[in-house]
Amino acid sequence: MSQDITIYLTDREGKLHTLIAPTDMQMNLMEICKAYELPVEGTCGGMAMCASCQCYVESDHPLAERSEDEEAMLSEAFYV
Amino acid sequence: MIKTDILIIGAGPTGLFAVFEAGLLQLKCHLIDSLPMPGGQCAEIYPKKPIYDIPSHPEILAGDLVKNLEQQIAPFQPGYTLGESAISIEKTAENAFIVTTDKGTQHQAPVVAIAGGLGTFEPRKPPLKNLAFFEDKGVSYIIKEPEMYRDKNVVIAGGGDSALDWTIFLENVAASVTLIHRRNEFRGALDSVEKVQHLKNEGRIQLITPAEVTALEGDAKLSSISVDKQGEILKIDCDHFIPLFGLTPKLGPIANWGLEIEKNAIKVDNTLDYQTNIPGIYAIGDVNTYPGKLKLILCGFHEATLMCQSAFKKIYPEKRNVLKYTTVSGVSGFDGSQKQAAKSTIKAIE
Repeated sequence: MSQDITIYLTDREGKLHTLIAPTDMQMNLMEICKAYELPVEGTCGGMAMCASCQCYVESDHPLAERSEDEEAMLSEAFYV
Repeated sequence: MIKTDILIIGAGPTGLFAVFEAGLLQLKCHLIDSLPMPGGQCAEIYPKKPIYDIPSHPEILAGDLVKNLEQQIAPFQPGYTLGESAISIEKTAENAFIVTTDKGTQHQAPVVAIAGGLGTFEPRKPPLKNLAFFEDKGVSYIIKEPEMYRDKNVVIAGGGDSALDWTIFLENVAASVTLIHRRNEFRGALDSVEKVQHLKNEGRIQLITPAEVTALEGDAKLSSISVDKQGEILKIDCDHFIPLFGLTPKLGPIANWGLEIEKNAIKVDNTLDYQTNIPGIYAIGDVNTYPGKLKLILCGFHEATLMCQSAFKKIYPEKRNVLKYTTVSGVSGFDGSQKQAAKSTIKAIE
């Protein structure tokens, strides 16, 4: 059995959600949010083509660098 | 008035495949799509990306999937109303539907199949004050008539292919072209990036990066914009401002057609035929929802097939019909073309 991780997520209304995420299903944050039926758009389904699933990571966990595609998309997104 | 058997709203993969299944039942189809070309998301969002879960295609580019579907349905001669959005629907006394587009084109059919995917693609608009006021008074999101920009001062904002392509094109037409982007890097075809670099080097366009448009100014129409370049505010006189930040899908007017909507999708009866709460209107592909719904192209194909069988019964309630296999019956196109499996060779051995 893989170890689950807990993600604390604050939505736009300031409400805190506690998400238990499996680590063996290759899900990204957008997909975890969808799995919890949170109203994240993610129109393009994770292709870095629409910037409708942005979030701010507030913890200092080591994460992968933003990819070139992600940078390019974010630079065309509004309010970022 | 365009008349057909099944009016399909949305020319994505699901809508296109419905033409084939309808054709096998001798039903004619007409497709409406807000995009100028068939293919839906596959054509607009990710034509160059591979798809791995189309049965029997270990890998296929989304653009190629669309091309193949167009080829497959060609014998059934579908009609197209492209670059127009379906905005209203009404029922006639003869139980047919009339669907009208934003450009006033009218279509009549006894059956309507909504294969609208995530909805109509609309331009993503930057959050600028007065933006709506200046629409058609200097601000446009789509370039329909390039001549409109002849000898004008044009500002384009964006960092993708459309921003690059239109900068290159309008440089030949407009009095001046200024391209503004939030970063120095552009995401577009290498060739276009290099062309824009060349135009900038030669002083034929003005490139302002990293920068962002922050305000629009003018009385009756647009006369200037303000640009924030790393804290420095520049004022640029211009006649036209064209923000090109891509398209985003919105369910749009279909949401007001009296159909049962749940979570931005149309509820359908998946135990039978993907019909909506209005008899004669079906919803197939990403646009519908039902218990267990998966937004997959392969599920859309299945839904389109069942929809067509039900549509046939609705259009010809008295006509007997049975499911036929293409391997046995072949494909008889409305264009007179005929595809048939080769007959087996039967020869005596003496």
